[in-house]
Amino acid sequence: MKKRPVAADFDYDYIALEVKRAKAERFRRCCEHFGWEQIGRTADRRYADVVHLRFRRPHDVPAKDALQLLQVRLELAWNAGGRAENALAAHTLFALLGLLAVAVCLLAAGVLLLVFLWATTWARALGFVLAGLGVLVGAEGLRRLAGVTGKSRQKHRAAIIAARRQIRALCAAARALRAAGEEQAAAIAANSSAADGAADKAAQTKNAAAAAGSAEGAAQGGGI
Amino acid sequence: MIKRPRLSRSPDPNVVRVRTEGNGLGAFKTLVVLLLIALQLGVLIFLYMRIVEAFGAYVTLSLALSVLTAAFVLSSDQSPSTKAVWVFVVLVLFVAGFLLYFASDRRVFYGRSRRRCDAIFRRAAAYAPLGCDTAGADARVREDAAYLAQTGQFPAFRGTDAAYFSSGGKLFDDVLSRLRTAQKFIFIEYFCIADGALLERFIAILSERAAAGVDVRVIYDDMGSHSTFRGRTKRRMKAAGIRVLPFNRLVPALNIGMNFRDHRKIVVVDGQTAYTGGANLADEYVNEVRMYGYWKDAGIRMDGSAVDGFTFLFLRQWEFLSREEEDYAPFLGLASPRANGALYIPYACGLDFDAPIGRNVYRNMIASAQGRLWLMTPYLVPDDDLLDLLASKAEGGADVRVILPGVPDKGIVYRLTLANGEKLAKRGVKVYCMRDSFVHSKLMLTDCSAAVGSVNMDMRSFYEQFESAVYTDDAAVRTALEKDFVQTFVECAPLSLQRGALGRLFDRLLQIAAPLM
Repeated sequence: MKKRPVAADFDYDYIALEVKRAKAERFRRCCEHFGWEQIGRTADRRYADVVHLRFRRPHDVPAKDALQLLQVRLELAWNAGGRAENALAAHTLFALLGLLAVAVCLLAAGVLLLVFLWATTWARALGFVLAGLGVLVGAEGLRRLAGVTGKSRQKHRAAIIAARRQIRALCAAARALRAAGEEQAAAIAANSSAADGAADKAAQTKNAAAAAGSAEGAAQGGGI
Repeated sequence: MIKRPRLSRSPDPNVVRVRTEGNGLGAFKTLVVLLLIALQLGVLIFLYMRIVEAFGAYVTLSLALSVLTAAFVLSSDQSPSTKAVWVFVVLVLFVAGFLLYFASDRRVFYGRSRRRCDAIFRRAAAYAPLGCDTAGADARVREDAAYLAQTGQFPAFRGTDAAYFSSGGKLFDDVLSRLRTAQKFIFIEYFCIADGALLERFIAILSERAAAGVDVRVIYDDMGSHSTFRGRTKRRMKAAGIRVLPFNRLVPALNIGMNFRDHRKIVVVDGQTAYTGGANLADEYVNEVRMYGYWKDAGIRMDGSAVDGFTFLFLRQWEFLSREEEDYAPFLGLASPRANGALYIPYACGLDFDAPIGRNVYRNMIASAQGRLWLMTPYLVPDDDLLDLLASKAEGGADVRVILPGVPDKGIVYRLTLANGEKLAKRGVKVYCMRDSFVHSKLMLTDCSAAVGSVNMDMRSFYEQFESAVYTDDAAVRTALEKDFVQTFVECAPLSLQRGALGRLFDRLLQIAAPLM
């Protein structure tokens, strides 16, 4: 599809993002701390859990460079948290599969025992051996899974907490930067208008003096 | 069109992704060019193998020719590391090595253009701006100025005020506001010009100024801009009265000349204001599009006498590309000199000069630095001599610091950059990577001078590309650069390279090819 050129906009900057639907509202609130205002939201055509958000921000927002760097870090923190949550879910699934495998082993051993219960001695012995092996292997597998999964789960939970903490810190830093920038801009504007006011006053005084002088001169001249 | 089914869940684990508009046409053009070049290469190899099979004595002949070529390479003026690589290639691939070497010789593919350049240089010399004497400046600055005057006829100027910008956003905001006030001419030269919000702002102002009778000229590099600067946009600009010329039009031909690119970034307004730096005319340089994390860039504005240096560089390039003789006189001598007594030397480097001036300016600055030498560069792939000089400076007690990107744009070059950074770090250079950022600034700051421009610390910038920069001893600019470095150090982490045995082996293999990159 042909794209029409975007009209030049000197007043605002724009950014478009693809965000997971479940996080979109929280992400929007984060962006507000950075001075962004959401101006559009559309559903993704391919994935139901993704939305497209469009934001704009005044072009001359104070401390823009620092805000842009913090914004990159905000996106990275969101993604680090998202990946950790995804991995946590994957590990839980893996643990469940492991448990299922252990259950299958035990069941198979049990079936063998039942089948050979009414059979010869050697078959019964084989059944006990297989069942014993199944219990041993299953227990070892379960122990290993619990260890691995436990560590991984701890690691991923820690990563999620760290990401959330970082997001809060970045939003706070952005708020502080904007507040400081706006204070500075207000101070500059105040100084500038004070200077203009002083200049205007000086000009008015000069004009008044000049007018008084010419009136006096005219009065004097009137005498000539 | 086949409608793909909507899936409930995206496979991407990331929560947020900044959208960048796809450029299907650009990707298609790139693919076509690469396929055509691959086809030509395939045909050449096929024909060559037939010749080798047909003439039994050819193998012996090619071995003899390769040995002679190796001797020729060893006696050439290239750097030792480049010579070593070529001798290796020529002798190992003796069946075709000598052909490869001479096929890459710029005298073959750039010879005619170089002769045309020389003719332009001779004619333009009559208009060349006269500089000033350098008496009173630091002895090392006078030496650097003498080098630039001798090798490139770049004069030094006094009477120039400057403002340094520590980001592409700040730089282009200033450029745009200055462009609005142009009355006579606007000259713009960029490696990369890309459709987007920034270019639209430029076009709006340039179109308005062109309609008001201002002479607006734009040079862009055809390879740097080929997938980003659409034909439709160029036509729109031309229709608005803006003159647009490509540098070294990209053709799908197996030609080493396609490697020579215009990497300059120059803006001149009315002969009174000039800008240069690292940023190109594209949205990622002002962080309105996300490509490689936060994009760190820099630039400098000059008002006053030194602007003539950039006007002159641009007009020579324009004359080369337009093939029309240019009258330089109306464009020079227009700036009123300022009271600033600091020296400014606009300079360029490229295949139109005999010496690798950009490299040698860096070399001279490194060699003469006392106490402090700070460097910001996106790539660190220079020759061994320059690396050794940097390291020796640190070993001699100087405060040598290098800031590199924390996020790569080109994987192979980044590996080389980090490997070279590690070599320097082992010898006392403090090497940093800016977290979550791609550092695109090309800055060098010593205790007595500074260089700001488009020259990367790599072999491409030194030997294959046309570059521009400004050298100055202005204390105000050095202070501004120092402030930028100090603020950037806060966002950096010391280089820490984690590699396994395979990674180290791979990097050693890359080092072999590095001099030819």
